[in-house]
Amino acid sequence: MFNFKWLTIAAGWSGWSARGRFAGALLLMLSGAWPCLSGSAAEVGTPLTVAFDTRPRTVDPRYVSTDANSQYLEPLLFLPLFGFTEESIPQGVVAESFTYTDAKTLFVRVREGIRFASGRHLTADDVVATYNFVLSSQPAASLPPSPRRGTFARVATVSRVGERDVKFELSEPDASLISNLVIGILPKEALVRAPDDVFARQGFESGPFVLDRMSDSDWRLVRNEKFSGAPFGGAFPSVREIIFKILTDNNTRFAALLKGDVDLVQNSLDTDKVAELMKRSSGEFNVQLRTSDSTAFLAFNFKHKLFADVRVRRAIALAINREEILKFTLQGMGKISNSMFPEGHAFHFDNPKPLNHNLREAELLLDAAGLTDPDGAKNGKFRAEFSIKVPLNRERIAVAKGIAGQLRKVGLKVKVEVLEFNMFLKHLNEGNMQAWIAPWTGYKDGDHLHFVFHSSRVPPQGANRGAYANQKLDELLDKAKSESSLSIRQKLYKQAQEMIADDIPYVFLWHRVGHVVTRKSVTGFKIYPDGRYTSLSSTEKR
Amino acid sequence: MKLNITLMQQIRRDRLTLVSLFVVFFWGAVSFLPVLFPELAYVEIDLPKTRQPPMVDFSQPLGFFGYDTVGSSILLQIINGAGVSLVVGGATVLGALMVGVPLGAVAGYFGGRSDALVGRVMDVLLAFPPLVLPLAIAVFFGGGLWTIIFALCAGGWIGSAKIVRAQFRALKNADFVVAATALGATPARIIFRHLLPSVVSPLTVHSTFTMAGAILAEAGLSFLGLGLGDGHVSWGGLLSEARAYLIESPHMAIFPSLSMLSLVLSLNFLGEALRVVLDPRQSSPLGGG
Amino acid sequence: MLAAVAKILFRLFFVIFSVVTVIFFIQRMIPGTPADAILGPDAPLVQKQEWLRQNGFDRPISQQYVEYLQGIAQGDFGRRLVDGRPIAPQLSIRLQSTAKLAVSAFAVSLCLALILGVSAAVKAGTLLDKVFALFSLLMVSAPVFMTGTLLLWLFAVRWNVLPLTGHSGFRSLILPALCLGAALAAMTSRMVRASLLDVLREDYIRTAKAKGLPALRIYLSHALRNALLPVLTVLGLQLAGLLGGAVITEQVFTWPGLGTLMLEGVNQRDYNLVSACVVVLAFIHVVISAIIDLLQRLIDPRTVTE
Repeated sequence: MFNFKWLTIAAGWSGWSARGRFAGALLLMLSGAWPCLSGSAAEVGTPLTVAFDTRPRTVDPRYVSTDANSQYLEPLLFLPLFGFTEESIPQGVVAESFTYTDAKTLFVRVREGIRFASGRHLTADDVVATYNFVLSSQPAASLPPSPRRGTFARVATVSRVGERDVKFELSEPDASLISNLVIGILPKEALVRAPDDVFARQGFESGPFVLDRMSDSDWRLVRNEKFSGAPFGGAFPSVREIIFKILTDNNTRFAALLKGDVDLVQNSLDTDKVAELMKRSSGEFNVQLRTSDSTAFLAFNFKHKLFADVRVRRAIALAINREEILKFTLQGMGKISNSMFPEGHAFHFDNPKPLNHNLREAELLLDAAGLTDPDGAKNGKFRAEFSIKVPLNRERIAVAKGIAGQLRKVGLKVKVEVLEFNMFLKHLNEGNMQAWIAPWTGYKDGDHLHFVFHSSRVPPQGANRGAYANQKLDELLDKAKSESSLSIRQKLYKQAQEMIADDIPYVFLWHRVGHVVTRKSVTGFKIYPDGRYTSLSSTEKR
Repeated sequence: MKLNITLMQQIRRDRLTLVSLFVVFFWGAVSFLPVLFPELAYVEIDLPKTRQPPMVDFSQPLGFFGYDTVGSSILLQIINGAGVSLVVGGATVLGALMVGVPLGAVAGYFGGRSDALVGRVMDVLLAFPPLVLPLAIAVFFGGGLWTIIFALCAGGWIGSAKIVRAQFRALKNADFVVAATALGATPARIIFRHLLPSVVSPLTVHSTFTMAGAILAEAGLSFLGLGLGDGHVSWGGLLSEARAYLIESPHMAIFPSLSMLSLVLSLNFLGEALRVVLDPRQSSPLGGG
Repeated sequence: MLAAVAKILFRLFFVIFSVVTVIFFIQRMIPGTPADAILGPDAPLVQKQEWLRQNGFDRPISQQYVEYLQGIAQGDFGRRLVDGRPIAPQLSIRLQSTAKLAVSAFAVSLCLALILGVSAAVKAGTLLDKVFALFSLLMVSAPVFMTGTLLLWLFAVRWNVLPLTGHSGFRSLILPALCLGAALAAMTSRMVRASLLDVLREDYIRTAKAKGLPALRIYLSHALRNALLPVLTVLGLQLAGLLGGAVITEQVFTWPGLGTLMLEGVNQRDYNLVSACVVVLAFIHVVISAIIDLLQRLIDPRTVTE
């Protein structure tokens, strides 16, 4: 099998001869010399174009919610208190440092010298005002409350202490708080304005770029000439202008890349298209691959009696041939995984007992569980049957079908039901399913396990949709939630994941390998597990 | 010029009609294969065969048309999809007739309030942008075979209702109807005995086109992601999947496209031919007028 | 005439009212609320309920309905639920772009239909007639998302002569207009042909022929004018249908029209957006049908259309 371990492949570079590099360097020198001849005209250059698969709903930090593209753009425009390292550990951006004086009180010190595009300094007052807006159920006249409010259910008050410190007081300990302090800070005078006003060029941005224009077809970001957040909030941008083109059709995005309409695509090409681009020897494109934090799994609904027996769950896990599915439906763009968090993540758990493909053992387990094959794998009659629900997504449908095909070989008849996304969620949250496939993406903290597996988190209280209940696990997850030391939390979550691995509420399949495809004129873009775009500020286009 | 051409004469005169008839019967026969041979009804998923191109290997007849993205035989799916397409088309036509004919008949024959009522309902339905109602219905019921048929019927009945209404209105004062009324015939008898036979021809022509349209519309809904999510194989579903691999794996598009084109085109040809046969005033290039 | 106009206006009002009502209730019956779509699948229930309350969706449905009707009556389409932006400006931009596509497709369809239809009627029964018939039936029988994708690949990528998406001015109009227009021309050309053949059998044409007038002139000045009358209705309905948004064509060609906006609204369960699109499109449809109705009365007072 393919082994993608932190693997970055630059498909285009192999074809790059020394002469080409020399010519490139020459070109670079020429372009550097050019402004002397004709003033600023040459600095404008052509904009960097990036393809987006959906229109970001909003970049107003107060109203960004779960929409991924909005979340990606937000830190380019508005700096947050914290960002994340590659290991998903919070890292100060606007925050210079933080201290917990006790489990319920957090002090965050605001960095000095960061300015908004208007020239004004970003102060602790702006941080307090922004967070108070988000926390409030009635933030300002005629403005709706922030959709991000729910994340801060345990935060009681936010206030300024001294010149540069912000105090977060909690009603109950919440170790995941820091990882949620990612809201872009707005100047306090912007908070009374309606979302529309924040977008117009008012100098509210503190990030490396400012928003110049947004339409249904594209969003234009230009360099924040007064950017002062380097290096914590990104480098001072070398490109003057970035255009995000909204191309909703998969075929169109690929075609736009080939045609040259688009310079950069991240994680929104079909895997076979990425594989095809990697095969090209023309050196037109650079392809970077890296294991992402998107976890694919097959999950069981414990209300369905077939899945009450752990032997059945184990048998299903053993009957699935993950390598085969990865190879044929994802062109190998997945890294087999046996736990929630990817390798390199702060809470990664290296499962010592992976459930690898083993048909024989799967059959024995099913026999032991009393599900015997009536006609000896002739496939006229079955040991049992169930259905897997999937949202409408070609890749997920293919994975579900692949699993269905494999489970049939051990005498399980599996039906794949495809549902429109909102409908899918409704069924899941009502517990109207037997098994389902949908990935987890974008979580940072170990507390995610509480959200997904704690017995109190059955919808609508959380995302324990399969109504999984394990008292020992509950205790462990509760304990971890009120613990603020990272190393102790890491240990607790490791134990929790050991339990999960034994009990198999989820069959973990793999972590998707993310991709970034750039035209060869573009350099400096770095791929991260969470698919962020922050390195656009250090990206160059020749 | 001949005033009345029978279907047989039309077929003899025009090869295209014959071919079209043959094609429609061919797909009809194909759609019975999975019923007669239940082993054909299960489409095997075999990942190692993913997107294998067509191969003429008589030991593996299922590979003639190649395999799709999960290694299922395209040939087998076309065979299974034929029935689905015909059921979608046929049931939509039947449903549309079952709603449209009575409403059109009542409106056309009795006129007055009932006519106004049916007319208003049609006005409202027609005012909805195309596809909105099917879309809403498909989202509401979650897109299965019968949902799609229901969705297509929702707007499909209007055409037949209009035909029936216009014809009834034109004929209700005709001599033979007036005479029958004078002789004491009940409205039901007049409608069934005298008026309905007169709409059979235009309705047949119309239904043929409706059927072709319904098969295409199902493909369109599949493209928008609201096709048959319940495990049925449909040609529309095959096509919308193939669209992503149009260049790399054209076989995925070619065979389902040809199947669908042949059936829809034949139905449209038949419609034209029927028009010539049943409505001699009209002439068609296919009949040579 | 005045009575007729009044009647038409009343019908117009009635239809719009019904459409507003139907779309209002259909949407509230569809599973999933805007809160699910906006706050995301994992948002706590309390927050969703709060969102619904804040946006007034927790009140009795009759009250919501009345308020919505009042809004529409004042021409206020409200705000998008997703980001709170007012709908009207977006709608007008999308409407313009839909109108652009519709009118061009209509023009393509009309030209093609006239050329194909007239030559088929003049050469009725010949090989040319058959070829045209085959061509037009082929155009209606192929799903537009396949032909469109193929054309796009060939012209925009392979030969690189046309733009890929609908955002590059006139040149990006060519492919979608052709695709949409050709499919429509198929139907219209059959009608033009049939109608023209009917007219050509009339006495006055024979008289004209007997008088020795040039054939072309007979066709163009006498026959065509009369033949186009019955086609007019169909053309009007076609235009109305086109303005109703060609969702699939817009999707394939990334054309920023009303159809895609509406689809976006359906996916996000944005009640206000979907209602606004549907109401505007229905309004256009109804007005166009009314105009056709009036035109027909003017041109040919004998027809009392229904």
